[in-house]
Amino acid sequence: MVAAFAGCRQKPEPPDPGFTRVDSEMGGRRGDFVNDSMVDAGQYGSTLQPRDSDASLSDSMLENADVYGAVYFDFDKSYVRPADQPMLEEVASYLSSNPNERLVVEGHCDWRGTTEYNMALGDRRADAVKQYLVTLGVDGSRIETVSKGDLEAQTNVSDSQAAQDRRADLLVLEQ
Amino acid sequence: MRLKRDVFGCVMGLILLALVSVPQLHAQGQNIGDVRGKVDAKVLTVKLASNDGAVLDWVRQAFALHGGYQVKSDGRTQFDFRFERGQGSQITLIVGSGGKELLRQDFTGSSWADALAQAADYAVRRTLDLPGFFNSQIAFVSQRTGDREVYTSDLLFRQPRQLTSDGSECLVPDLAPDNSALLYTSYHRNGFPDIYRINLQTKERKVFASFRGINTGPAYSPSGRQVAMVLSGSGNSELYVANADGKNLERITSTRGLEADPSWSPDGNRIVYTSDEAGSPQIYVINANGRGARRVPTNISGNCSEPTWNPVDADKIALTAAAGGEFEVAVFSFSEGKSTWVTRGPGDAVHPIWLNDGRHLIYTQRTKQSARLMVLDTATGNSTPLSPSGFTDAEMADVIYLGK
Repeated sequence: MVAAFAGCRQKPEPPDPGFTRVDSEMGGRRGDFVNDSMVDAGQYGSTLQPRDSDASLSDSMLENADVYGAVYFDFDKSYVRPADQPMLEEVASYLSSNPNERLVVEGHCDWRGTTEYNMALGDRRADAVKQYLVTLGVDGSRIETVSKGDLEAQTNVSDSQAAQDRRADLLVLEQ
Repeated sequence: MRLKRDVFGCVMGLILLALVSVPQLHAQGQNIGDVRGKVDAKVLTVKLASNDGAVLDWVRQAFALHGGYQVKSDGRTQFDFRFERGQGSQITLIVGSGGKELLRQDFTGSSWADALAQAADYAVRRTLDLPGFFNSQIAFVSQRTGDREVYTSDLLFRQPRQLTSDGSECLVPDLAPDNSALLYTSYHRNGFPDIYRINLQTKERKVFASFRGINTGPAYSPSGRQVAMVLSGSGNSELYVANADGKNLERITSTRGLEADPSWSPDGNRIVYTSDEAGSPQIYVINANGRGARRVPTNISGNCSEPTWNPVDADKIALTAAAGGEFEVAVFSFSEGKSTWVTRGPGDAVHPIWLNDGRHLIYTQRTKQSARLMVLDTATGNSTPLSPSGFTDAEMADVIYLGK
């Protein structure tokens, strides 16, 4: 850890020992949660849906999921382009012949733009794909959406490579 | 013409200061004046001294961040600041000018660095007539461990602490104004972006908001009694406000666009935010009760986001705006109805947050290769690196002032 900070700031004098100290105050997963959300949905309970208690997308689940494909979006847009519609029809038909599988739609943005706007944009992209599949007859309860915003975007890339980050990944999970 | 008059005033001021052998110390509590740009920024020359090497190193680092001072090692200066380290955590501030002692005051704190931050802030208040900001606490995100985790630190990064070890993605930490708690967004529990609250005394962590879709953008009101946030559990990202204990959740916006980035007015009555209701992200303001939404005519870019309300001067908000393929920070004035750029490359300047003097901002400087936190003096335009390079990709800072 000390090596990681060597030469990090010009300092003519020996650094204060506190400077290099990073105390880890919370370790990993702890049993200090309450399971219920603190926010009391109150009158919005009907429109604000709590997550299903079994809704969970662990890293290993997603790593083992089959990637069905990806839908790509125009810059700052979230509508499904005609070019991607045939693939979504395939997905709808796949889900209809595989009733034990469900779909995770993961919305992504490129690294341009700002964090929180991109979180909302990734959410809207994932939801646009879900809504399109619902119009094709897929039961919405079999589709989970998650926004990754720009958190997984490649930064050190050209503009055309960055365009690959404006997408929604379709991941198939066995129930 | 403002520019000429201000340059004249500034020059006259310097001449007067040079003629008058003992510069005046400011009384406390006066108006700090407007943030206008480079022309009317007063810069004081100062020499720093101490009986202790660590103290001297600290104050040199601190005053280099403040655009209101030019630190000189010799020659004649307008002020001499001496910070004497005494018994225990005591620091004595001695302000002099031209060999005359103008002020001497003792400070104590939980540590010498704490007392020193108070003393340095007092020196700023009495010489520049501005609140000092050195006694601040920051929270931010870094990928130092390979994952985005939340860290807290004193402003000068002398004692940074890793708060979370979620091994996941953590973002947008927001400190309660009294430093009792921190809200942040994390994916660690279930793979979805939920808001968590960490009690900073006990380190107990609780789920704060976990609805379908995204739960993010937490922002404590200035009183600490309410929290604004972004939830998409209705099917679309909207602004909500709840009490800090999570009760009385109220939906504030109802649009077909997406909303993000809530930031409270200093009086806690209004919220400024990002919405793309009109097709591209722009800045809007709304009463905290959900009435009176209207667009803020920033007139600077087709892509504006991350508004942050000036805590001292409610006439101003800072924001992030796209400019020629990059993102830069601008300051919008409601009374003037226009925005002014306050950063200029290289790379992006994003996620601004005001320090308590209403003049300096912390922002994230971002390139394709890396990100780091910077301090910007909006009065002089000077930016200074804040986060050490060991904090890989430090970003998304929040800040609160610990002093009075």
